[in-house]
Amino acid sequence: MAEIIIEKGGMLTTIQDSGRHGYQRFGMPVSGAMDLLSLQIANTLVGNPCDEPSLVGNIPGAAALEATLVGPEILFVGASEETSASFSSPTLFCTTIAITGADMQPCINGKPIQMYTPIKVMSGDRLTFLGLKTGCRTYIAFAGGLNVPLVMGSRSTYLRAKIGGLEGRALKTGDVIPLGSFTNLADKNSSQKITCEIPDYQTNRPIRIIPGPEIKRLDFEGIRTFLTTEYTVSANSDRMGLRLGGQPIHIKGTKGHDIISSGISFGTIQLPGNGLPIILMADRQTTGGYARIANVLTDDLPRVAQLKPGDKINFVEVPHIHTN
Amino acid sequence: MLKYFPSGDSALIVKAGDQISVEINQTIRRLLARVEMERISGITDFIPSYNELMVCFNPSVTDFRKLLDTIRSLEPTIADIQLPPSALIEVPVLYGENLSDNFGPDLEDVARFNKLTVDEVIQIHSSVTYLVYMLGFTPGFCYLGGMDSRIAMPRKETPRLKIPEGSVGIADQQTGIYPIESPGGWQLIGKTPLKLFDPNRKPEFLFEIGDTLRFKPISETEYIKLIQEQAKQTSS
Repeated sequence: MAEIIIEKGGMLTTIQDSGRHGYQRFGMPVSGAMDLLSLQIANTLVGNPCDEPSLVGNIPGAAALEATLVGPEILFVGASEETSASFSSPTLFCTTIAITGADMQPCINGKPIQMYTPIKVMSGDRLTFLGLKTGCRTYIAFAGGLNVPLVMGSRSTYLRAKIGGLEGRALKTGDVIPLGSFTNLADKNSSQKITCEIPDYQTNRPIRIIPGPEIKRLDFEGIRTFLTTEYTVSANSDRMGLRLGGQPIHIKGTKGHDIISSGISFGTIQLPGNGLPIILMADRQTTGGYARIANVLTDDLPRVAQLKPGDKINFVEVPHIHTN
Repeated sequence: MLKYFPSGDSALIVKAGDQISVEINQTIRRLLARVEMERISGITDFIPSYNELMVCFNPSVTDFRKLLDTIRSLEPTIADIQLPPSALIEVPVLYGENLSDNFGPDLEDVARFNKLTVDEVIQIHSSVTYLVYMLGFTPGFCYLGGMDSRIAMPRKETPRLKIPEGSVGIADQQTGIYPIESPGGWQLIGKTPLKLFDPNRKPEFLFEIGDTLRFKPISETEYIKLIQEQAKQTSS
């Protein structure tokens, strides 16, 4: 059986899939990968099926690792089922991995490896990272996925409730995680390099937003501030949300920031009393009591997820159907 | 009169009014029941709240315009939806300072603040039937309506970093139970041995929107007995 041994946990490495859907009415956050696109590409590269979340018969996609700012060190141990059956190779083929998202300069046994490419690893190989070059979050997918128990239909770690992933916590030295069984599509095609479009995280294009239900609480000046300020991602940002620093946004009235507690979605931008926006991300609470001034477009969320403290962000409004 | 708003390109908000009321909340529950009946493809989740229903969807399967048309077409049939009678769930609470733990460290402050005795606070708190308007904040946290304003008290100026699971508290005109250990500024008056949320139990959550609950004062002995019974159930 193939497994991975965590020799160093990195800054914050958690097990994530596409999230825990269907329980938000009970106050259960979705969690899952912050950058769902990178997770999906990594899984596809190693031949793992991707899921489409749905309320009826949701099949969770494979779980991968999400590493934040500083990557983990991982030792690969054991053989894949394929190797055990053939006994053909002198070194045991362990699994196929793919690394996407932030560039932390991955290496196998000290030698740099390509990102966005399926990589075969042998038993005894060691994955390390030289250091962050771009982005914030790196995804490491393994053929067959990480075989941890499903909790309410998902393997995603939700740190606050200590559920999912490995004991509901970030990985640390000494953790052992078994890999799932698989039909290794990527390996069968190993002679032909699988290519994919690598998302451009370096662009300075503004993040596209659609106005939110409480946008009318901003006056002209407030909207102008929101759409012209270059905000800075604050150090208090985490998987729940990105807090932004910069020019505070003016809201009408003294109680204008407060709303009756209401639903929030991935990418909702809240405006609390200090006038500084918060972008709600994977571990967001299901409901909140601050004005929802806008929402980030789904296609731009991966870029938001790859921002680290100190990075700059600005917004541009895109047209959407207005109903009332 | 329902109003519709986009929440980005992956959720739709239906708003039924601008205040907290039992009627508006019932409209939300009817709407939820009605939309669920349709089993619309692409919907990934629902978040009902006091006066809104958020419908989350997968933008690669459906879109705002399609869902808007579908849900609008259901509007005339919403009033006909019969809601099931509300479940009444009793929540045993050990009030105040007990055992080695201090389960309700702020009970005396709440009494003093409202010029009541500790026993009066307990009596008032446990004599009302509360409505679960919605869940949110943390997994299994119920927003309850119906607290008697005679025991209201503002939040603590400095929130506590760790409030243990099961703590029962008061914040302004609200009362609630912490389902998981979390930071918070509520005035803590007691603790329940019940698990509001247990990922390894079916169902995982003790309450859902529309349920009602009553608090029942219990003794230390009963508290310990209930904890032991629960432990037996999870291990078997």
